[in-house]
Amino acid sequence: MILKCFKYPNGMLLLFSMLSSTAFAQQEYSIQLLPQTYRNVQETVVLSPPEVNQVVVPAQFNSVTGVIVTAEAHCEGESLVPKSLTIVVEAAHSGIEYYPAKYDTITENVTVRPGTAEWWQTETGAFEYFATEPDIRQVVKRIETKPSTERRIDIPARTRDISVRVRAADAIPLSDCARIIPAQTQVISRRVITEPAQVRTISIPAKNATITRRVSNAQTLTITEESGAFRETLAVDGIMPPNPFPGTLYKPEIENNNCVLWKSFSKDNATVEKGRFPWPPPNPSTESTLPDTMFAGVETLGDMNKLLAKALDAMGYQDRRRKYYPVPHGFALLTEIEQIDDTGMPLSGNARWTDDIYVIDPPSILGWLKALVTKATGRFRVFALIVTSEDVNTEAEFTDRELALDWLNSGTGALNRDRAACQFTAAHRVTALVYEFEHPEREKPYLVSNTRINHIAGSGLRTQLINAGATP
Amino acid sequence: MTEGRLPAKYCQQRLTMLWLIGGGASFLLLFIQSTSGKHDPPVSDWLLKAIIPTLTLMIGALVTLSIAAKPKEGEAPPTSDKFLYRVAMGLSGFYLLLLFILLLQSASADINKIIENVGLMITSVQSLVGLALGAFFVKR
Repeated sequence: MILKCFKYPNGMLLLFSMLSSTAFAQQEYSIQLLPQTYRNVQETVVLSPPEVNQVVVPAQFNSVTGVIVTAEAHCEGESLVPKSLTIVVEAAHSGIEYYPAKYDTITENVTVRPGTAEWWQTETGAFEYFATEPDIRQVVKRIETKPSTERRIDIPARTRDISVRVRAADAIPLSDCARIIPAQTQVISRRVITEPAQVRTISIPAKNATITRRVSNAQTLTITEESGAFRETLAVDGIMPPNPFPGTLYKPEIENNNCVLWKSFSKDNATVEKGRFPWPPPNPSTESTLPDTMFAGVETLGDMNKLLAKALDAMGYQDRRRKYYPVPHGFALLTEIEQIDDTGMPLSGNARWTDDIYVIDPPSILGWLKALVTKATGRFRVFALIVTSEDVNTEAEFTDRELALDWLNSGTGALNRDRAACQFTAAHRVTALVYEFEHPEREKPYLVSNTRINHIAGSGLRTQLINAGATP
Repeated sequence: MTEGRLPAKYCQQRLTMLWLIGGGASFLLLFIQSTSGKHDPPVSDWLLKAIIPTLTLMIGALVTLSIAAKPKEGEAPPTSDKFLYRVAMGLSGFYLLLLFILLLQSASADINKIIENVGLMITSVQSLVGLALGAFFVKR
C-alpha cells in the first residue's frame, strides 16, 4: 500500500468515493480525474549565431610621374661627378593582418515532445498511471570557438637608388661656358597612397529554426460534494500516489488519522502484496504491549519511529538491518535476527549476529568443556514492533525461521515519508512481538511457542525507550 | 637377546597398554557425549569400529598367550624387531591421538561434517596401524 497524507486545504477531511460512495461525517463526495491536456508551444532554436566577418581592404595607391635630372647642364668638355640619389618610389604606410574567427559544429538534443505522465480514471473508479518516452531530436549547431583578430603592421617606404651626374664644386659658371651641354632628365614613377588599408565589416545574421513543442498542462482532479454544495478543482501533484507502477491500479481508502491510503491492485484485481508483513501477524513466542503513557508526547508515526530507532540503536542494533512494513493505520518494525543466551541476553560481539550454534560466549574453558559433552543449541530472536491503532490479534501458525529471514530480505529500510507524517492518535499502541527460535544440533530450527524468557527485560527495550525520550 | 630385537611379549604388552589408555580415553569421552545426546548412533558406531576391533585382537592374543604351554627349557622366547615395534607404537599413538582430537572438535563444529571431511584420512592411517600391529598379534 502507498500512504499519502492529504488534508483538504481548509482543514476539512476529504473523502474519495468511487462508484460506491463512502460516507464520512454525513458528507459524500465524488472525484473526477480530468484527462491530460496539451498545448503547442513554438520555440526558436538558434542553429548558428550571428557572425561578423571582416575583409581587409588593402591600401590604395596612385602612380604619379616626376622628372629627375640625371645629368646637370654643364660646359662642353666638363667632367661631371657621379652621385647616388635615393628617391622614394612608395611611401611608408600601414597594412593589416586579419585572422578570421574559428567555428565548430555540435549536435544538441532538443525535446520536441516531452515524455507524458498522466493518470487515467477507469470505469470502476480506480486510477491508472501511464508514462511515455519523450521525443528527442538532434539539431546541429555552429558555435564560435575563437574570435577573429586583426593586427596592424607597418610597411616601410620603398626607395630606389639612381646614379646622377653633377657638376664639380669648383666648376665655372655656365655663363662662362663656350658651349653649354643641356641637362639630361629621366621620368620616374612613384606610388602615392590615396586610401590607407582598412578592414571592412560584413555582418551575417543568425540562422534559426522554429520547433513546435507539445507541452502538457497540469492534470487536475475535480472534487464535487454529492449535494452539489461545492465543487473544487485541484492539481494532481501532491495527491496521487508517488512512484506509481505503470499497469497497476490504485484505489484510495481513508484512515482515521487523516491519512489516505492508496491500495494497489493488478489489473486482474489481485492485490499487489509486495513485501508485506502478514496481517494479522503469526503467533509469537511472547508479546507485550507497552503502556501508552510512555508515548504521551508523540504526535506522528514518524516521531514514534524516531523513538523506537533511538532505543534500538542503544540496544545494539545500530549497524544492523531494520525493516519496515505497512500495517493498517501504522507500521511494523522488524529487527535483525540475533542469537541470545538462555536468559534472553544477546551474545556478545559478532557471536550475536551469527547463526553458528557452536559459538561459546563468553569464551571460557568451562564453556568449552560444557560444549564438549552436551548437545549444542542455538537460541535466536526477532523483534517485531507493531505501531497501530488496530487490535493486534495474532493467529496464524508460524514455525519456520526461514520465513523470519525472508521478512528481513523484503520490506523497506526506512519508514515511508508519507506514513511518517500520519498522526499518532490516542488509539495507537506499540506492541512488541518476539519470535524466539531454538536450533538444536543436527535439527531444524523451530519457533518456541511458550518461552520462559522475559525478552523485554532481557533486551532492555523499555529502559532504552525511556532513555530515548519516552515517558517513564 | 640379539641386538635389534625385543621380547615379543614385552612389545605386545606395551602396545596393548597404549591402546587401552588411548582408546579408553576416546571411548570415555564418546560415552559421556552419547549419554547427553550430543551424538547420533551412527557417529558412535563409526568411532567404536575404529577402536574396538583392534583392542579385541590385542586382548584376544594376550589371552591366548597366557593359556598357552610354557616354552621348553633352553628354547629362546620369541622376539620382535625393535624398529617395527617403534613404528607400531608411533602409528598407534598417532592414530589414537587423531581420534581423540576429532572428538574434541565436536565442541565447536558438527561432528558429522568433521567425519565427512577427515574420515578417509583416518581410515588410511587405520590400515597402516593394522598392518603394523599384525606383526605382533597374529599367530605365527
